[in-house]
Amino acid sequence: MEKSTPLQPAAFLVLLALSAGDRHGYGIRQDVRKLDPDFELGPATLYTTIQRLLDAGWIDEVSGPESGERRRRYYRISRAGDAALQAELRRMEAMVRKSKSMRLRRAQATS
Amino acid sequence: MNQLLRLSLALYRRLLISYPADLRRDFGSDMLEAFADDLWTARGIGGVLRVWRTTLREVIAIAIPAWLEIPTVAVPLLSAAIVAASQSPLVVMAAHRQILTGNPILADAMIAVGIESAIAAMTSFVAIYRWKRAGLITLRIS
Repeated sequence: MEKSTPLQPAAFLVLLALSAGDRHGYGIRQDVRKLDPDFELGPATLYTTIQRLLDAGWIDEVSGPESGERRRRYYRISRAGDAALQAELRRMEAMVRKSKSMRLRRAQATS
Repeated sequence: MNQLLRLSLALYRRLLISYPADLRRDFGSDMLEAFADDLWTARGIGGVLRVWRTTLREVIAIAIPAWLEIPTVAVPLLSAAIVAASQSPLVVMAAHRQILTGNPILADAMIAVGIESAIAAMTSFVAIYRWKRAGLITLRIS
């Protein structure tokens, strides 16, 4: 995954969820639901995204607390993943700033 | 309702086979667990149907493109599509003649195109499969 290209929405949301701390798959989905209730993160989308992020070295699998009958796999954002997330956030902020200034200019031109 | 959930879970377990082998191997049980979580939290039949809508969207967006990357699937499909497309003027002509004369030949034309496409698909599948087994080609589309 190139750092300069925009992140896929699922990858962005998974990284954003993991930026708050280590999560297992279910925890990631709960956070994504809170971040964007309209985004449908089904099991295949989630684990395909996790697989890609693991391959890219943007997240790591870490051992989580042992509780219950089955040990869930936890994931942690890596330094590279955090850099990619910050770059994406900066890109989005710049886009919002630009679109606001464009709208402002258009409003001034019409008034 | 419980029966519907059990049936859904059994169907999803079968459906997992449509996903890429490495995804299934590494995350198959996690995917099944996530699907079960969705089912248990779904409200009523409408909720279960929404879970299935998401699942079918994922099959279309993830599983089918992954299958199309496999040459033993992609090449026969492409062959069938080429044959069907090349024969489509005949189907159009048959439809036109059927409208003009009332002679029911459209169905025959479509069956003929279907058979030709199937033969093209089977031939290319056998060729690719045999070449692969003989080690003459390395299957990788990227």
